[in-house]
Amino acid sequence: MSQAALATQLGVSRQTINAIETGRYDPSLTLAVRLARHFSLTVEEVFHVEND
Amino acid sequence: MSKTTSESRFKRAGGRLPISLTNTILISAFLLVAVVMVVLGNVGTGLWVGFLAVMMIGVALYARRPDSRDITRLNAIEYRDERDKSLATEGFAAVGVAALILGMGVILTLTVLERLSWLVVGFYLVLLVVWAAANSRAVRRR
Repeated sequence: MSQAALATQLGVSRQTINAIETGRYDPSLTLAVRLARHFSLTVEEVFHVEND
Repeated sequence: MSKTTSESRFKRAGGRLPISLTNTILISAFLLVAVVMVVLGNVGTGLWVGFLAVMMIGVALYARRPDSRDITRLNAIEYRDERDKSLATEGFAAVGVAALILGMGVILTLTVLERLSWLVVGFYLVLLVVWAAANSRAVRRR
């Protein structure tokens, strides 16, 4: 799936999807959940947070 | 999930209007001034301000294209999603800091030159009130 197609389905810009993928932008909790639900995954499976 | 309310409000406003609410207000003000100028007999200025309003509509519609760049949307005040709003907040924060510092510089300079006017002081006081209100709102929201 292209960034543009995913962006359209989630109602955000292509640049936002690109920024999330490249780690330049941390989405809001709302968008993170929507992204995870879109792929039928949990938020933890989509986003990885490094332990300190 | 506290952002859901403001997000849906943002989408509703964006869905109703072909351009953003901010641009709608700005362009309406320009068109109103254009009409007033023409009615007052200053046709040249009225047409010029009207032309600027039409240009602003063109810029806003250009920024609303599905494949528009993020910098284009930011400069045109046509935000599409939460990242655009976040970037715009960052940009306007810099504008606010610059306005406060430059405004104080202008007031001090005019004071030294003994040319301080109530318009400048009023403008700066409004800026300070807006700053305080924005801080208060931000603290209540988070």
